[in-house]
Amino acid sequence: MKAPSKLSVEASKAVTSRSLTGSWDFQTLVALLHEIKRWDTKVGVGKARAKRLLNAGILTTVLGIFAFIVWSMVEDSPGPLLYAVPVLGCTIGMGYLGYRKGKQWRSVDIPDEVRLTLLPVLQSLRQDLHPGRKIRVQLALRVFDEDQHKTKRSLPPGRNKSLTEHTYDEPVGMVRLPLANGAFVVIRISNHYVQLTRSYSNARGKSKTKNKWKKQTWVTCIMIPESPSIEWNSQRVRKFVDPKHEHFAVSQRRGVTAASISRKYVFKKAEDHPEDTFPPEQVMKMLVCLNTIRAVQPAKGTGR
Amino acid sequence: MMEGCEYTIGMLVMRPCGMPVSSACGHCGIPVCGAHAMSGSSGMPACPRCASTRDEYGDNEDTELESDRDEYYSEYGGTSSYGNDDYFTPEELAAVHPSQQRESRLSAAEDGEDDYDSGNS
Repeated sequence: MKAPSKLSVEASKAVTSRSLTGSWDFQTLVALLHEIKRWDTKVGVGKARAKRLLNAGILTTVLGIFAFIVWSMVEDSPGPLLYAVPVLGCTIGMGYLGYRKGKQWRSVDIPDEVRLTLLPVLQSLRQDLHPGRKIRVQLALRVFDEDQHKTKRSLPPGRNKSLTEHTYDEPVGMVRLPLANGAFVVIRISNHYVQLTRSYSNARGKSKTKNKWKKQTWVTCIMIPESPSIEWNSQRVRKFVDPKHEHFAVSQRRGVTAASISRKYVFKKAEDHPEDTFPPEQVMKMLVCLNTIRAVQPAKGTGR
Repeated sequence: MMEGCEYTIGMLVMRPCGMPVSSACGHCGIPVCGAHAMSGSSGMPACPRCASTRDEYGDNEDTELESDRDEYYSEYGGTSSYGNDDYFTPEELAAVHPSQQRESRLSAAEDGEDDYDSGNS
């Protein structure tokens, strides 16, 4: 699947190389991400069409088989089954085409976090950015490949014939934003998928296979203050950081004390992997939380 | 008397806009620049903060940002006192002991050299 010629050279390069790495000013980066968003939306439409084609192929094949059996029984002759070969050939072909197209679109798909999480966060922070410094970006524009699992293991099957767990990693990447007051904010996102495949026999002895998917998204927001005098207020950390869902950490480096909040989101789905994303509002809440637990607040009026 | 627009911009680094003043908000009276003076059906100029709470003014990026900022900071006592000397309570100020608050360290990946490198290309 080729990147469309309508994309700019840089966006086309990012989509083709499946990565976006470098430093950009806000306007250029947002324009670039909007182009990537349009491409991702197009891929999403293509995936949905391919899925519809696959489902239509499966459904018409199943219905066709039943229809030809009933027809030949009504006619009391195997004659109608001769028509079944070309008709079912077409429906099977339609399903196969949907499957192939779906695989092709998926091979050029981009993690939705870029479009649905990072871009809105960037836009919310547009007034906070340092006008003279660039935003550093390191993004992997590649979704995980179902043919390349990270780990595979057999679990105790219990009442099932077998129970297998596959895991997949999808490192989305990070952006580092220079703030107007000289501080930096780093946002890191990574996804981890767990697929549980269960094989069992139903009451009629028929073999069945079912999948359960779990998507875990880790988001870490790091605030690197502009001055060594800035520390983090432990009482406010206890008050505002939710220890059940969030992890607060500090790190002393090059004379400043950086702080981070990490949060994990879990999405579950049967049969297919979840496509839900970490909401941008949560990233903003984590950043605002970090901002309000700075022990030395910036004086009002220091700006630009 | 401030010389520049006094409308507070920013989500994390809140500061006055500072651009040349073109009018004053008809509701709160702060001087605002052309970019932050919104006109409503009554013709009275308003800053995005006042406009975001009144139906007669439409929505734009600034009013949306204003609403979002109010929402994000409401849990922490709002934006009005943020940055003032009395923002922290005496108990909170007493709780600043950096040596005790290092609950855990960032992982090596999160603490990467590049995060602290202020050099920009």
